Amino acid sequence: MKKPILEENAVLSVQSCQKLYGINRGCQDINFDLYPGEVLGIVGESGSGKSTLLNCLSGNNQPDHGAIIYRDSVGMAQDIYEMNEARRRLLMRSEFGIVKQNPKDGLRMRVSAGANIGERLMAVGDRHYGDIRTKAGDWLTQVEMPKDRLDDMPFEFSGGMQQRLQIARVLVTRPRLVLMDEPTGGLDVSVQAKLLDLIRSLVSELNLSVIMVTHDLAVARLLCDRLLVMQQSRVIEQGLTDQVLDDPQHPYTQLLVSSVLTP
Amino acid sequence: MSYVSENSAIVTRNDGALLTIQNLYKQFELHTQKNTSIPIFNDLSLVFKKSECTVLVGPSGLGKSTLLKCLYGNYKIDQGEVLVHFDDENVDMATCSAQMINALRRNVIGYVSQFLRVIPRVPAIDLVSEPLISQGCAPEQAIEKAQVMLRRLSIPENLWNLSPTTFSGGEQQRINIARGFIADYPILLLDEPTASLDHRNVQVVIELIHEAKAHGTAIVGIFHDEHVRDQVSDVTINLAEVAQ
Amino acid sequence: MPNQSEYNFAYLDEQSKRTIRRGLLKAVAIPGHQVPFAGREMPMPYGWGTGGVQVTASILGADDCLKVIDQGSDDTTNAVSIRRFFDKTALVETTTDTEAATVIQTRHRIPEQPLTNNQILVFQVPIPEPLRFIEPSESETMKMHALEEYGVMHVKLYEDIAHHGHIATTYAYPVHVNGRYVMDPSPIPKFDNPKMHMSDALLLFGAGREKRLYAIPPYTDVKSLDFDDHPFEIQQWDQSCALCGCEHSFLDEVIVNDEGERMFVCSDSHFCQQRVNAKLNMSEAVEV
Repeated sequence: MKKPILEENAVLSVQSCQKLYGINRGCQDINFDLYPGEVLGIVGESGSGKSTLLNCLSGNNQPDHGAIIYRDSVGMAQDIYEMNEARRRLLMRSEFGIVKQNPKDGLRMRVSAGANIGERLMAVGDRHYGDIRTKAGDWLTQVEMPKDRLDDMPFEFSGGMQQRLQIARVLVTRPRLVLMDEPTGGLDVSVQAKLLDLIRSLVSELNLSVIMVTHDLAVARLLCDRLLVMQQSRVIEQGLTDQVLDDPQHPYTQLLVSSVLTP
Repeated sequence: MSYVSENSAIVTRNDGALLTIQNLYKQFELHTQKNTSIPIFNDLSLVFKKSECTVLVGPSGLGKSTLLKCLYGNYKIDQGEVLVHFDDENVDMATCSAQMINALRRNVIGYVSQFLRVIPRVPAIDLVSEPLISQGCAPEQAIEKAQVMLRRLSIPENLWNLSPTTFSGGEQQRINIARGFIADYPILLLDEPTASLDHRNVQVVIELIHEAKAHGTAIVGIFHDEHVRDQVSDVTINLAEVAQ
Repeated sequence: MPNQSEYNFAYLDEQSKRTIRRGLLKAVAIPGHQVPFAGREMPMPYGWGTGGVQVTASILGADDCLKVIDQGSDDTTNAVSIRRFFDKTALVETTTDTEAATVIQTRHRIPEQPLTNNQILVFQVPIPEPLRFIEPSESETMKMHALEEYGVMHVKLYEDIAHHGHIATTYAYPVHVNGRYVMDPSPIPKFDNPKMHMSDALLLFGAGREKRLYAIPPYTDVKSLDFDDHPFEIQQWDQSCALCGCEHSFLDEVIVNDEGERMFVCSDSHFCQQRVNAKLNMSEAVEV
C-alpha cells in the first residue's frame, strides 16, 4: 500500500510567538504549523491567552517577538508583521477571514445584509452592482438564509442568523485562512448545531484552513482536527483532538476534560 | 513490502504484515485522582497481516479497547513503536505528526467504535458517504455506495435523510459499521461492532468482514459474541497472556 | 465710515492667513487630500461658512473682486453677510457677476457659467471626511486614505441601488480625485460634479468646524464613484426654467402660492438673470 502524501507547505507557521501584558498574561512560546484544510482549535479557560494569540494571528496585535509566517495563494511565505501595512490589511480582507464572537462586532449593523456580504467584494475591486448582488444572494443561500432577506438589516435577524451572515460576509472573498473566536458562543444549543454543521461543510467544500478559539470542548471535538490547550499564556498540550480529549497527558488538560459533562 | 530493521538495512517483508507493534508500553497517569498510575501494556509486540482477522480476547480491563485506540492514534503511545508498513517505508504512529495520523485515518485505518459521535443534524446518508468523499470520491458515487451499504444493513430508507442522533442504539451502531466498511481501508479496527445487533445484521457484518479480508484488509477486532468470533477469526490473541 | 478699514486686511492677522496659505499649498500639491489647519474663531457661528471665510480671507488680494453665493443665489442672508463682511474688512470690490469675480465663495453650488483659469472657487464644507458615514474613527479613516482602502465607499452606493433601484445620493456625491484620493465635494448637487473634472479654475475647500483644507488644482481628473452597470448620472428635469427657459441648468422647485402651485427656476440666480436680460435685449433689438 502507498504512503499518504502530506501537504508539505504550511499555510501558517507560528514560531516562538510572544505577546505579554504581565507575568504569564498574554501568550508566549507559541509554536505550531497549520496545513491546508486543517481545523485547529485553541482551548483553555478565560485569561489563558487564547484571544491574545488570535489577535496576534489576525494582524491586530504585533507580537513582542517571534514570527507569524503566512504562505499566500501564490506560494510566497512572509511574516505578516514584516510586510507593509497596506499588504497586511489587503490580506486580512482577502485571503484571511475573521469571524468575531459577537456578530455585531463583525457586521455593519446599519447597512443591509447584501451590502454586508458585498463589502469585501467591493473592497477588493468589484465594481459591478449586478454581479455583487448575485454573489451576495448566492452566499446568503449557502449559509441557509432565504434570499429574499438580502435587503434586510442585520438587526432584524436572530443571533444565529447574524452569525451566519457574518460567515457569509467573510467567506465571500474565498479566504484561505479563517480565524474564529467562539463562533457558537452566545447561541442557543439548537442554533449551535446548525452552525457547526454549516461551518464543517464549508470547511471541507472550500478546503479552508481554520483556527478556532473555543472553550467548548464538545464543539472542539466535532470541528477540530487538532487542539492546542492553553494555560497561563502557554500551550501546555497539543495534538490530535480526540487524543487530547480522550487521553490527556497534562494535569491541567485532565482537569479540563474531566470537568465538563460531555466532552 | 519492506521495513527498516534496527540496523537500518532494508529488509523485504514477505510475511504480509501491514501493522506491527513493537515493545509497546502504555499506562494512564491520573493526575487529578491522587496521581494514580494504571499500567496497561508492558513491552507488547504483535504483528497484523494482510487478509487476516486478528481477534483480541481476554477478561475486560486488560486493554483490548485501549489497544485499538493506540492503533488508531486515539491514545498516546508512551514507548515503543506502532509501525504501518507501506511499500517504500514505515510510518511509526507513536512519533509521526498529527497531520500524518489524520491522513492515515482518512486513507489507511478505519475504526468502528461502539459509540457514534457526530454533529447533530447531519443526515445518515451524508455521514456514511463522508469517508469516501474525504478520500476524493465523487459525491454522487459515494452516495450511491452509501445507499447500498445502508440497504444491506437494513436501515429503513425513510431514515436515510435524518440525523442518526435520534436513532436507536442498534441503528447508530450500524451507521458506524457502514462508515467503517464503506471506504475499503487496508487496516480496519473493530470494537465490538455486533454488540447491539440482531441476528440478521450480525450475519451482514460477518459477510462484510469476509469481503474485507478478501480485499486484503488486515482486521483487528474485539467480539463478545463467540459465534461471530468463530466465523471471522484467523488469529486469536489473549491479552492476558501477552500483555504482561 | 473711514476709507481705511479698522480691521487688518480681510479680518485675519497676517500670520494666520499665512499658515492657511501654507496649508492650501500642500492641499493643491496633493489633490483631494485633507490638510489640517489651525482654524481661527470667526465672528460667525460654525455652520455658516467659517471654513470658507478663512480660506477666502487668506487668498484675497486688494485688487480681487469677490462674489459670494449660497445655493446658487447671491442674495440670501448668508451670501449677503459674507459679502458685506469682506466689503467691510478688506474693502475689496464685490460683485454678483460670475464673470467679473476673481474669487467666488460658495455654499452648495458651482455656478452654471464655466469658470476660467483666473478664478478661484472657495467651498464651504460641513463634513470633509467622505468615509465618516461608515467609519467613525479618525485614525482609521486616515489610514484608509493612506492605504487607498476605498472599497467601503461603494457600500453606500450599493445600498442606494438596493433600496431605490438607482443611486439615490444626490448631493455630496463622493469623487475620486486624480486617481488617488476619495473626496467629499461638499454638499453640492451631483449635477455639479462633472464641472470639477478638468476645471479651468482652482477649487479650494475649507471646513471650519473640522479644521480641514483640501483642493482640486486646475485640470485635474475628477471622477464620480459609480458601478459599471449603474454609471454616474446627473439630475434631469422635464421642465425648463420658468423665468429664462434654460433647459440644461440646475432647477429649484418654488412654491408660488397657497394653492401649492409650483414653478421651476434656475438655482443660479445670476445666470438666470443674465439670460432674462439677454432675452429682453434681443426682443428690444427686434422691436427697434
